[in-house]
Amino acid sequence: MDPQVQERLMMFGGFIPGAVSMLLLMAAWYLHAFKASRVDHDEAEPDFEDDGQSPRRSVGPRWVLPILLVMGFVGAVYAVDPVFKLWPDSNSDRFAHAMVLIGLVGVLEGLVRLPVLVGIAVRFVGFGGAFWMLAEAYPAIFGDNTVFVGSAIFAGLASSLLVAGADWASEETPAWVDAATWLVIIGASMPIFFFNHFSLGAQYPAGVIAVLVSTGVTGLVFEDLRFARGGNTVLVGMLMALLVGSIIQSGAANLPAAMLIGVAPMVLLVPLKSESGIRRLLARLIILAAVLGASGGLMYQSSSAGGDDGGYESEMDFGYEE
Amino acid sequence: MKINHSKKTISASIAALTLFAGAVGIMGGWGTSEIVNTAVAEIAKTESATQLFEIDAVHSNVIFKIRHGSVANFYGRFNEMEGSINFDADKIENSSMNMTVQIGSIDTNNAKRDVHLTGADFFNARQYSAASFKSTGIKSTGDGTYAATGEFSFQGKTVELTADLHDIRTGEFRGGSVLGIEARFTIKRSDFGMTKYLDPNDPNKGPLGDEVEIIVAIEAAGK
Repeated sequence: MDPQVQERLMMFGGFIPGAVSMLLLMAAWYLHAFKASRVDHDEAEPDFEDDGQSPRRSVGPRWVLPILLVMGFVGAVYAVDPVFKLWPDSNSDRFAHAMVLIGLVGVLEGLVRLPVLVGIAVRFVGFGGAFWMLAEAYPAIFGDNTVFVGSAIFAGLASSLLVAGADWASEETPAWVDAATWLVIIGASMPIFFFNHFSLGAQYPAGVIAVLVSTGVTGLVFEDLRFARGGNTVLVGMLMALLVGSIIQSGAANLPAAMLIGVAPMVLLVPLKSESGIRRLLARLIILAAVLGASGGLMYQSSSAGGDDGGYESEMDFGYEE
Repeated sequence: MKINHSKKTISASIAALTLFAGAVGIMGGWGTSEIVNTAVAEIAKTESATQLFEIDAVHSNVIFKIRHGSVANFYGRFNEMEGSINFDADKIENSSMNMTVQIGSIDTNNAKRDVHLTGADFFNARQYSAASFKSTGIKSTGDGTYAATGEFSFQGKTVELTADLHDIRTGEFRGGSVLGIEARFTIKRSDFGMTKYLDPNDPNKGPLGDEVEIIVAIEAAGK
């Protein structure tokens, strides 16, 4: 990789979002824990959510995580494409814009407890809008508007329902387990995107990975931290956006391998009765190894079948370097 | 009955007018015809001076040059193009040209890289499948060279630019007339929104430079 891009990626898609998110998450959740330990529950009604049966503890500043995840993503986009564009014509330049929209939905979820159906509808609008931003200029791919609208509805609804299920599970799952799960999903998806002719898909998530590491560490300290209500929304939205980049914008070299990336987050839906975070994580990792391993295998087979690459090593030029 | 009468009157009037016009034509005779014939001949002369040529993609080249790795010049080409030239051999300034290049036909001597370049990372060729140039004016710059100003469309944006034309030749080949032209111009990819892997502080550094020099060597066959 070019040293300048690598340096910018390390700064804006690594060190800065990682450090900022560590500081802000620690500060926000420390304040939450401090208030929760000091304030008498009966006297602090505005800070508490009432489910009609019993006073419930505040869920904490869930809205911080989606902001930080989007910040990490946008930082990595800036590292690769350092010119700000308010509304670019090229759909391939709209990833940051799409993620900001999804981030706003995540923040809204974090601030307000939405009823399940309303939450699905709001996320559907956010995901559908992001799909539109990234795929509206490819009539040759969709054939006609009906197929495009149908694809947008499918992408929006499938992603929204996936988040609904993931959030339900994440409410009962320590943040560090979800962070580790997402790290594996995103980390494995990066080379698959890369070999699917979409090297940007291997670079944009770099900042999100930095934030996930900070979130995992913070989650070990503050047990109330959760990915539900915002975090899962941004992460599922990011995968959806990158799949659009790989499949629709670039034309994936191996479609099944890319589709398996979309299937991977479903591991969050698998019901696990164990209270042990490590056991839950291990179970998820076994499933992910099967899903992402299959994806990687398909990708490898596809790359090998392509024959000699003629010495072109795009990872050395533009791609992700480990 | 009245209606029939009117019809007869109209028919008679038309017949009379036709006869009158014919008589005037005969009386005015050859003087008018000569003027008309002269004008037609002038037009024909003008038209014959501008000959239509169609670009022969097999014998034409669109080559680009870009700085790579901040030090080396990298060359690539596009293989699919079409277009035409209305060429006036007597006064080249009266000529005009248009050309379209298919972005998906990029050829960098490496198939894997070609696929990568057409994707979202670079040309986004599924959205912007072609680049085109349409001349709006040609001026002489001396010594057989010319400057063709026109509209260049690329990546969804259209800008006016001027291409230097040189090595303009016509001749006969395989029983038909052929035209050869070479054009060169330079664009900044950032002007068209292609800013990935660009060093904003120094456009000549970074993985890929900002300036792209384009050489279009055309062979066109007369029609």
